[in-house]
Amino acid sequence: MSSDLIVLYLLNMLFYASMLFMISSGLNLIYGVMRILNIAHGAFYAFGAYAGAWVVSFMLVDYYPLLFLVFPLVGTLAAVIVSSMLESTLINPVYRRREEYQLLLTFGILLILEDSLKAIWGSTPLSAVEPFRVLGSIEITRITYPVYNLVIILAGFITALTLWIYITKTKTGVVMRAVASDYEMALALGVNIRKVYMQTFIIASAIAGFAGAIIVPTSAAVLGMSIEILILAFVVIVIGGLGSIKGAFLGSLLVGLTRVIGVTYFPKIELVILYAVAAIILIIRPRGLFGK
Amino acid sequence: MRGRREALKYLLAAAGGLAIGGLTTSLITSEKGKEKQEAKNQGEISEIPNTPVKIGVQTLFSGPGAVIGEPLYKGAVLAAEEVNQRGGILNKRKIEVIARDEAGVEQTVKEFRRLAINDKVDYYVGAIESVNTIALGPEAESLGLLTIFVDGGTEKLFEDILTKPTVVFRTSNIDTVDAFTSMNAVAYWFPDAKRIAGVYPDDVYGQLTYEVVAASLKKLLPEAEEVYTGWPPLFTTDYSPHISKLIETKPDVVVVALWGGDFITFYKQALAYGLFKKAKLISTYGFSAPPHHFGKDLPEGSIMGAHANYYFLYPPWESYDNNRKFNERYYKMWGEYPGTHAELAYSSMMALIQAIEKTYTILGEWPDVFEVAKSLEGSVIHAPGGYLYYRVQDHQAVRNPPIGRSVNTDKWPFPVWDVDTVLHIPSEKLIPPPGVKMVDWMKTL
Repeated sequence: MSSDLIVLYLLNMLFYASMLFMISSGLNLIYGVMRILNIAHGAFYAFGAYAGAWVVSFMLVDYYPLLFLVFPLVGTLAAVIVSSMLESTLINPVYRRREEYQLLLTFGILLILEDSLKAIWGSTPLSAVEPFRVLGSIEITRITYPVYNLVIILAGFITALTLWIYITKTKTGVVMRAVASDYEMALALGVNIRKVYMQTFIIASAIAGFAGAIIVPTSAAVLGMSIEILILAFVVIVIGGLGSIKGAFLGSLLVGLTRVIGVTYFPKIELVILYAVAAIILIIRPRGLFGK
Repeated sequence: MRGRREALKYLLAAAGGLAIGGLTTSLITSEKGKEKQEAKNQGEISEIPNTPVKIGVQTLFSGPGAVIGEPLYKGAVLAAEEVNQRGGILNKRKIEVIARDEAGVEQTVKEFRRLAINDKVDYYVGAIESVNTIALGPEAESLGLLTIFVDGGTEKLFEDILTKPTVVFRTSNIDTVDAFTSMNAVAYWFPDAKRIAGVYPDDVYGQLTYEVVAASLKKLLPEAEEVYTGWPPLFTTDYSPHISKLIETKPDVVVVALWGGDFITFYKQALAYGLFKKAKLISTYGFSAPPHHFGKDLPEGSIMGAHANYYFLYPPWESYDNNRKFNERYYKMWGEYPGTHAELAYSSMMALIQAIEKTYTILGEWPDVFEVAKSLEGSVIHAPGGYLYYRVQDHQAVRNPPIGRSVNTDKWPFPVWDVDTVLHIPSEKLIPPPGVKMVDWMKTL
């Protein structure tokens, strides 16, 4: 294989990993702090995608490149609004309840949100290809590569860095970690758990909304995308470990690499390879690579 | 009284020569048919019920498949509207369309049963995915629900599962015809192609298409070699690893059997990777989506199949008024031009209505589903895409499959077929006879 192609495959791996990280990191953050496996997480991603695609449909990015900042912000905002409404009404009552309640509730929310998308934007997929088209392609070592994919790779790394700084270097991040590692002790020390939970839920949903909006120009916003993406996010967190941001990061890279190898060398069993890797890791390390 | 007059009017129309062939014979040779015919001869005409005829319409309303699923619904609604505007079926019974989602086999079957049992629909028109028609076919037979599958064209349905259907029909050409039509087009337009690659959805359609493409290559382009075959799962959002592999293998042509929104996502991503700078794009299904989904960036000269059924500009409007009028009415109702499944659903509805009215004129009584099914057998529909015929033996409709190449013109804001160069191959050269699978039939050619 030539060096050009190696660069191409490497970029593809990073692109896919970046997408997966933006989706799975929020899911892991919620589980790590709140101990809720939020099935509705995929719906916030979809809400971001729909809102972003909707904005793109009447944006004139050809003439005003600054508008590139608008649709990811709108997607993020849409997810923040929906998640804050749901957190205070439906999610809040099931904190510290048994997992079955939480799973049923969040799954119900996922279905309601999917139908809400249908009610708002209809069932035809919303295409938002303009930003992808406008940025065009560049030549990297004799290969043509879409510039927009580089934007997504960059967005993934910026998300990871921001999240890491937030969790490790800020006061609210430290409190969040304290709640995650010892709920009772944090409560005894007077931490406002209710506030921490709300912050965590909204931040995680905001990342999902941002991811949905920034990824949507590469494909389209479609009904059912909540569940499709959720399955992939689960594979990542099974590999990386539930509740670990580091695990989400490495899990995403590993899934990205596995997929590239699978498609390249074993195209007929592309999906089987992915799930086989997840199964092997589960057998060797049942809590994933970084799960506690 | 009015009902009686209405009925007599239709009987007179029947006397005018409608449907006097095999259909009449088969209907009146049955015991029940004989009784009805006798009653008709004695002037005992039953009234046409004045309740609406309920037609269940099921299609893909979610996921990338909605790109072709929505037009199915729109085509069915247009047909219902047209018939209702002229007073309904037999100028009396209005049509009520009851729509349901086609989402996953289990859910699709549940919704189908709900339509039959709870909503008590009289007839069913719908379904796009082959995995669903395989499951729904036996269900329809056991429920006795007259079912016209708009698509879901796997040959397994009538070759393996329902070898002697009574109430199940299908309007779309058999899926494998797409592949054979497309490969005939490749051999015609790119006879020097040596390196062939393909991207097939990992579903029933993709697997059967690949089987026929591989067999066609041996027959039509024996010197060509397969350099890559990718199998992305349905509704993949990122095709970059497949596209990279295609770039690595340097194909002359890339056969893409992705359908609905998946094809659109694939071609837009592949364009950004510069895949089509050298390779020619061959799509078996791409132009079955409504034309407005495509940008002018689609490489010119690509072979764009329309699921071997219908493309909105063909037959040309100037020479085939039926198609022009259909497009005008559809555009007026929906503000867009129809995709393949809009025409297929429209034609299915019209075939059904034609069969009901025809049977009534013969029997003089509102027909039951089995009588309507008998009428549908062997019937010919003057569809917007040309004549379409439901085979008696397996209830599969056949029509001459057209295929064309994309061109950008000033007239349309999207790429369209170059209608002057469309290949319109006679069905007997592309469609196997009843009971014979495509790959077996191809060996005999």
